[in-house]
Amino acid sequence: MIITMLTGGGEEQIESLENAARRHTQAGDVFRRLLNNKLGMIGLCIVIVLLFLTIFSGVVTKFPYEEQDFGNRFQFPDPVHIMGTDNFGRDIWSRLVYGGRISLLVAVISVAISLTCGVILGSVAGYFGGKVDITIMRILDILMAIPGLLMAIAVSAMLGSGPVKTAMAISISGIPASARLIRSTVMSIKSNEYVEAAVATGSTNRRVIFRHILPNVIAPIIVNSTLGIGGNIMAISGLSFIGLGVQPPTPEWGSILSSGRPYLRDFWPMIVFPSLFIMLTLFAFNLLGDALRDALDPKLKK
Amino acid sequence: MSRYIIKRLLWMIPVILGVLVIVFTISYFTPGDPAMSMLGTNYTEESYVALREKLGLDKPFLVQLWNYLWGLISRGDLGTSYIGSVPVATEVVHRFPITFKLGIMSVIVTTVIGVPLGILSATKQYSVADYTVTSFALIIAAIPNYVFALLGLLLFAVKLGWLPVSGVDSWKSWVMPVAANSFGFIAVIVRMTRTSMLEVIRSDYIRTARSKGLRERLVIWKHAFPNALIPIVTVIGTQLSFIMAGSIIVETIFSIPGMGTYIMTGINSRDYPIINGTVLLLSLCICGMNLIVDIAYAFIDPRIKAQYESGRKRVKKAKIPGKAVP
Repeated sequence: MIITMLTGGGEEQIESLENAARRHTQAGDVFRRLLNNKLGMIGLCIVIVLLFLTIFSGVVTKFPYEEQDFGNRFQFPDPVHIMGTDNFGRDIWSRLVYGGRISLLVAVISVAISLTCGVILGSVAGYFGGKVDITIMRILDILMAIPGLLMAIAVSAMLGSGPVKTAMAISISGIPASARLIRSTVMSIKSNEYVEAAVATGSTNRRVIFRHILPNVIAPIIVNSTLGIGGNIMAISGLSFIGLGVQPPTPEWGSILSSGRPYLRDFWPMIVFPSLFIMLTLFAFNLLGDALRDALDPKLKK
Repeated sequence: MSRYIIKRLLWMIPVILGVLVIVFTISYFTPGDPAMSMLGTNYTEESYVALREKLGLDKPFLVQLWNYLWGLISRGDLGTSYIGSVPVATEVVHRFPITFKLGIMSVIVTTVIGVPLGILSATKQYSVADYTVTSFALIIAAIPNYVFALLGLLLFAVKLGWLPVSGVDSWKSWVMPVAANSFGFIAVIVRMTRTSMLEVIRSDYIRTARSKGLRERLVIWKHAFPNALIPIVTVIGTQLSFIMAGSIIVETIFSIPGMGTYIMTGINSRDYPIINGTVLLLSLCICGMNLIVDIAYAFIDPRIKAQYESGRKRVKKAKIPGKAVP
């Protein structure tokens, strides 16, 4: 009705204005900016293809990943085994596709764990400040003094192998960085008038944090988790590569790569194909993460 | 300035103690019994109990932690490895320089390649050179050190035969480990240098420098670069810890007898003193390097030096700008 009053009639005009209002949601703007970023789109496409492959592993592979065929060991790529077979005669393509399931899942779980802890610690430290902030940040300083990978190695040795335990080991080393990021964002948002208004109207701390502050921290969280998934895939494969993390016969890119190491001289497919999968995935998540950062914070782009 | 350094050194004490407690706790709860693995086939109930008593493993957690701390503080004793009964400190004296050398060489290579490429990319924005450098950075950022190491071995050691597969006997054997350890970080440095330089190049004083007829080389190196240096040094500082940790994997691949292979020996045989000692030393090394980076700020930026000297709390030690214009 207001629109009618302002524009003074015209059904089509009203409709187009309403459509424009509907179109200009924040999420819509972000999505449009993301669509315009060519590199980001390439990243997104690779991620979608990877997700498709890992979800429909059973459809895209001809052989079960654990099926051994000793008569067909060390086969170079051919039409039947498109990436060849490994030292047990298992199809490398099947192992890599199923391995992607493990790598991606473990990466997503570890990012979720470290972000949840990071959001809790960072928002509490950033919002309350003072002694709470100092205590939390000093503990995180200590955790940060231990190199992430070293921490993951030590925790992984303590917890043992397996996808979930690996996710936990990796996530611990990611907590300090995400907590710091959330803390700094929360601190900058806290000084806004609308937060002051919420406090003045008598909202509880919990309400202020969850309703007014955290929704505005969502942008760095999305960017951080996208880049974090890539980084964690690298860490998970690294751990499995040195014999911790996910253990054979469970397929995982790092452990497949590691099992190819003894045959480096004579059989390259066990090295080259897992490497390609790891690099392509990291490349895709890096592109997508960068594109999301540009889309969510166009100020940076100027 | 010296007050600031002393303050920072004092703050390192609780950090290192905290690291020690965390690492000790982790290794305490790591499954596997060192006494059992030391005895092997000579296992009898009596010898097992006696050995546990000798190693102090029968004592409660807090007592063991205290004994370890006290040994370290009073005698600088990092403990004795269970397997082989060699003092960890003795072993570390031989191994640490190798890892340190690998780390420092990687940092130098990263900086020497990354910074000029970043500057080139920023000064020639939107040129072929810029696109080449940024694409190169995007691609190498997606290559983990172990993948680079294996593919490099496959190409340069196996196919071409130019470089050795393992060891640290000649300069040739350092090429691949250093390259593997620094390659991915070059991307980070390139991107940060480019972003930081682009921000500085657009400032008024650079326009002034150009308009008064200064040569472009002088404008870039004397006026722009020193002001773009703080974020670059910050990012080099944060990469140090990754590079030192990355050397664990690189050392394992190239069989380099450094701290990385030592810690892997410790983890595989549940040799707690080795794990504790190596993690502690590497963390100490990283804390020390971070301190050096912080002191370096004072030499780069007189404003930061003034802040250190006045003893005020630094609000922001370095401004890291966001992503660059593509």
